Amino acid sequence: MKGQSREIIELTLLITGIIIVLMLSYFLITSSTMPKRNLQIEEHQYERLVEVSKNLLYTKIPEVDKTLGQILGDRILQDEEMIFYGRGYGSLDTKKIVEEYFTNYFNKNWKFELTLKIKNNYILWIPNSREGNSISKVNSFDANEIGRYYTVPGEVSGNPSRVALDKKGNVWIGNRDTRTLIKIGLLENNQCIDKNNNGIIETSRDSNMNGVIDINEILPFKQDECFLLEVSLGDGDKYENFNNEGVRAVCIDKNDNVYAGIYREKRLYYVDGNNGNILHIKDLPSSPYGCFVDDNGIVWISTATENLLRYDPTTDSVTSSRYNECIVYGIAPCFNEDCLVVSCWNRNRLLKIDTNTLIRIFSESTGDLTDGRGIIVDKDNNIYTVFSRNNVLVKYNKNGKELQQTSTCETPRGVGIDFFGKVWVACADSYIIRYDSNLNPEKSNAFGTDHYVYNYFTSYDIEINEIERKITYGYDFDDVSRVRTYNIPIPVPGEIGRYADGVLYVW
Amino acid sequence: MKGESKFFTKAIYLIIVLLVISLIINRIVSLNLMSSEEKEGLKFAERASDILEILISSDKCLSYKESGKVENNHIKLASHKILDKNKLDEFQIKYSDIEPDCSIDFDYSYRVKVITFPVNIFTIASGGAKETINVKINSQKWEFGTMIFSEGEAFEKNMTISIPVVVYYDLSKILPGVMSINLVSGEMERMIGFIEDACLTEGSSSIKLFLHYPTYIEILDKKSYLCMNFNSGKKCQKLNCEKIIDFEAVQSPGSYNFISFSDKNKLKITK
Repeated sequence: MKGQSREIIELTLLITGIIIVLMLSYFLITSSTMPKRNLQIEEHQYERLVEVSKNLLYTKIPEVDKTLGQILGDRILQDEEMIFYGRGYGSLDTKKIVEEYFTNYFNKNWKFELTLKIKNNYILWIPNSREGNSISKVNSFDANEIGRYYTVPGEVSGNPSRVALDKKGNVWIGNRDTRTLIKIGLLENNQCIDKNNNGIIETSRDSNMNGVIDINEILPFKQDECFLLEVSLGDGDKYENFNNEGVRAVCIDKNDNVYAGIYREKRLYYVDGNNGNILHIKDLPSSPYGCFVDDNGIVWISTATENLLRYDPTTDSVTSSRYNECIVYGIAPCFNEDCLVVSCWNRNRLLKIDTNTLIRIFSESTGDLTDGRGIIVDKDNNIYTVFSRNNVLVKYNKNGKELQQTSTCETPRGVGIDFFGKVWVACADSYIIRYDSNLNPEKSNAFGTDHYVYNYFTSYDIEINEIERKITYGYDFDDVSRVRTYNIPIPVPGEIGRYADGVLYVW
Repeated sequence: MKGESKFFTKAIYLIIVLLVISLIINRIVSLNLMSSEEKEGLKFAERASDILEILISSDKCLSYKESGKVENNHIKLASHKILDKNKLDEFQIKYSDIEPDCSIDFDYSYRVKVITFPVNIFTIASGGAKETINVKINSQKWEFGTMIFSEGEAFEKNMTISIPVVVYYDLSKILPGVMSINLVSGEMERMIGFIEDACLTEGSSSIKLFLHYPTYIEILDKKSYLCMNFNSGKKCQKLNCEKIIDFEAVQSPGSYNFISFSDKNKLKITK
């Protein structure tokens, strides 16, 4: 018995030993470590990938004046492959250039993707009033006019003035000589519509890149594919000549619906921001001149009289407050405080009012400065306002004390602050000027006609939604395990330090 | 019975263990063998890459020096693989049949080609543009380096690798292309390398080489050439060395121990 047990133990040990040795051998024989040579080949292939990607930023074709990287940077900001190069160049087919470049190195075994997250908060909308009958889209980086859109048909006097921007960067603009309200889509935020389904957005562009939209660069009324809506407010002929007493107050609430007032009729309309349907009509005790909607949804309306109107849509009630020393002209909310500021036209005064109590926080004389118009408040609650008689822009602190003053273009109408904190003034002499926060002038441009806008022509306090734009060139791959990738940032024009993400796939 | 089964089991165990051990040894030995072959191959490929890198990056070779700013000081930098077209033109003439001074290899020989891709770009008239542009540029090619390489029994191995580059013509013209190198290893290459190295350093050195073909020096237009009589005929490669070379010719195949004596003006090589 003892002998047998011993044999069994020996047998067990034997079998266990054999199994272990066999497993080790199997592991050794089938191990799949990559030979060093293959690693070296892989390294060289990656080096090729890297160099081809980096060379995008250096390759420059004569007469085109831009590197391939710059061409791609321009392309990602636009919505089509043909890049306009103006100045007699015509347009360039980006797809053809990029495909030739990569195919030279990798035949058909490549794919290139370029992605950019865009928050189009660098756009200004500036009306061209009186006979201008249009609104201009401006790039705040260089003050160049990049689009222009008619707000009325050719034979009609529109005299567009007040503007308001929604969260997608689209603009609503009221025509002072008619009862029409127009919505223009922001091309840079994919808001325009390819109405004829030809794959291209046909819209106004600065084709010759001279910084101004020429007459031949504007499409006829409503034919521009960024023209989204024309809303006729109330009954009656929409193009009836109101002679400045048509649509004056225009402002937007947090739902992107629009309040617009017809001055002559003393009536406020609430309009659906998506389809232009009239949602509500409210009669007012005074003519609406300008408006804004505060964070609580209350609509504050200036009247160009001593009265300030407060409309509460939840109760559908209007209250009127009188400020004897002031013609309530330009109004703007404070920043994160329950107050508003008023420029008092020819009463040479600046007012700050508590919006809960309607009591004056201050009422300051502006001295010789008169005909105060546009007014706006920055994130530090400093107040900026323009005086049309004196041609100045003035900065006050939150208590109404003057901090700085600077000269402007002729007869300034409006003031705005852009997303980057720059201060803009729009004037009757067709100029716009950009200043830094210390009121040092930086850039200017002249286009169109009298820019009769007061404020809210920038996306300053609007949370513009971010969109992702992606373009792809090359071919598709099947076997992911064979693909090598390299990430390369491509600089994008405009804001310094802005890049699109490029990924090159090669197999 | 019991004894027989025990013996039988132990015998099987022994056979299996012996088999496994021999498999393992075989595997380890194979790995080692591969490793030494691979090492040579790796070294060769690395050398080809290194030469390309020197040619591309050194401003004494082909690199274009860009203007850049370092700590607010304007300086010229050779910071990216940009080749200077003027230098390429110069190299094509000056080094049409020898290795450039800036990158001589003493173990192998090489020849380099640079090719730019053709360009055909045109714009389409639109947006009121009165004229368009049409840019057509043909592919351009440059070559330089060793012309003659080992053949037949004297040839060992070669390798060609390439790398993407850009060629700088001027501020408005920087074209993409490819630079490739053909690196060769063989008897002629080692002999030339020994002579060039000895030429540059005064004093004495030696090397043991096996030569399959008659080898000698010829002078043509005051330039020294190393010649070998391959089966396909006599082939001669120009030498960089400008000293008077007194070379004891090799007439028959064999292993030779070459010794060099170099001074300011003369290089003597005996076997």
